[in-house]
Amino acid sequence: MSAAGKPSPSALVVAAIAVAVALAVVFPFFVRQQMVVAGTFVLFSCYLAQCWNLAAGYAGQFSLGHTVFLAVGAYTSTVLFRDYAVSPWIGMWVGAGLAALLGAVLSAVAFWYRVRGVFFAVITLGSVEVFRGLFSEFDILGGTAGIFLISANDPVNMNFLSRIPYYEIILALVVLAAAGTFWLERSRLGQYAMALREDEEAAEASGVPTFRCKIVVIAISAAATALAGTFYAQFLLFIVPETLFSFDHMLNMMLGTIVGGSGTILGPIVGSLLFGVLGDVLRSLPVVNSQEAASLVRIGYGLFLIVVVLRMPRGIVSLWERRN
Amino acid sequence: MQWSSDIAQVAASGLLMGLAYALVAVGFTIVFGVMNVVNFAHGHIVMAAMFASFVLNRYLGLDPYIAALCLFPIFLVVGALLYHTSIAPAVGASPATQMLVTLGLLIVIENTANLIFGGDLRSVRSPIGEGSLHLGTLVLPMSRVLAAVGSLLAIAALWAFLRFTRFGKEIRAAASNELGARLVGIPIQRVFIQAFALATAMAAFAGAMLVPFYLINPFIGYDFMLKAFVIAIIGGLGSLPGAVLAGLIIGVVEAFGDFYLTASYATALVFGLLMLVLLFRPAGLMGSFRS
Repeated sequence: MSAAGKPSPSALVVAAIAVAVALAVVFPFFVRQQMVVAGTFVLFSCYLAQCWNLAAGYAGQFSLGHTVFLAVGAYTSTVLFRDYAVSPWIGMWVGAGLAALLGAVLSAVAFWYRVRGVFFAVITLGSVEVFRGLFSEFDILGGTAGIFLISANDPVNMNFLSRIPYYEIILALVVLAAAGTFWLERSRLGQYAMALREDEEAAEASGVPTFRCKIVVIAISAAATALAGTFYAQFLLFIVPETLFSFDHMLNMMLGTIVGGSGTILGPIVGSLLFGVLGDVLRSLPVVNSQEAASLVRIGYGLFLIVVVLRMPRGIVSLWERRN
Repeated sequence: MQWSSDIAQVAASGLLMGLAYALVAVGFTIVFGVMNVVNFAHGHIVMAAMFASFVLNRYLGLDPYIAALCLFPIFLVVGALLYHTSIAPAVGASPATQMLVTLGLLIVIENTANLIFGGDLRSVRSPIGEGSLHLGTLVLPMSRVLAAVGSLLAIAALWAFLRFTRFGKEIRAAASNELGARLVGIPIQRVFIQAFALATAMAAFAGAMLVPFYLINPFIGYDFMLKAFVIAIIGGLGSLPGAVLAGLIIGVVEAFGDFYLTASYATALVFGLLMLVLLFRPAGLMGSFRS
């Protein structure tokens, strides 16, 4: 089972990846702080796309509710730190556990009642609004005003004055997510997920435990997303429902994954890098002001998304696959 | 007696708003019912029409209620163009493809509006909509009464149109059995274009009726998209009476939630209701004209 389908990558590919990762690691030491921050945001959207790719790309469960897991991660570690002085390095795993539990329960209820396809997307979108409403009300979560943390040189509590450690943390998460995806593709769970994505009835009939499999993949995806939530909270030192539940995060996850190639290891990374770097380059051009540039860039994203979905449904990485 | 007049006032404003919400949702529910496409950009068409009304008012001095009548035919054409350029290739594709194409449209519409108008809140005023209607203890702002009446008339006209015209029969035939409709010689592509154009124009009309008492910016499309979802699903996708009933329910639930709780709880309540309906009554309260 484990060897089915996916060949091991060639030595050349491994070497190329090692070089790319090494370059990414040393990158922030040679550029201005502004570039480090830009790189951090690009890697953050890469990582979120990778998380979403697990549920949507591999298991075919088109969630529009991943911002809930992002928020659970951010709020759990932040509240644990503020009220109980628990280091976010530990709190992030508590958040991941809670998000996994929440993802499992929500999807178990949805799948138990045979909510599928587009209705699964709608019910997850609904959950965002429910949690946005609840998170805005609870005083312990700071309400609509959110929670501020104080910037300090405190590495034990994931708080740095330099931007470089943040960059390296999110880079490590991206690499870990890629490795995790690589493992998933070759695991029994991943094979099950891809089988049910292609044809749920056929998979069920061939003995794939589709119900359990979908829930496990979504729980993993939710936990991974929650880790990004803690990172986001520590990077900005400020959390508020408005930004955490923003539909923009959801759109970025989808754009990167779909344009790059969903259900592949490199797809979400390639897609998010493309959008991130393209966006930063266009924004830095002197011809338009930054507000207009941001709008123009996003119009381009939207058009690009439509074209890719209709003309190249397997994304940019499929170009490379086709040549081989 | 304060509390009873409060309740009556809140219920009345909820019902008025509910009718306008129903009008927002009817186009969405038609598109789903007829071509099985979930249009995530529907709310953004409402928003685009509001800005169109703003432009007509600011630069041509048109009253927003007269603008509403002009916007209907304009957005029939816009809808047909949208269908041709981006929806047609997605009809019959996987749900993920459809969602992504309409989400792409959403991004394009929202950011085009942001590029042209910026993110500031704007308003459109109409002398016709000034003042209030007094009914006993109730005080109803004229603009909201007009929006409710306009919505009710538009939905009734749409219902009669679908019920009694040849074109309406074709749409209903395509919705209930696409293959059967093809077999008896109904030109499905033409029906789809017309249905999408009609849905777009209804959304535009809804936006134009709401704009005299609504603060607008490019990001409110998202709220209308969510409202359309909730109402269409609770009412039963494809059902016009269902949309009206669900619109009224949502309007009232939201009004009471806003008044007695807070806006955040009201939102949570509305979407909690959506999730429950999806779980326990996925065909919605009124079924749909598909089944």
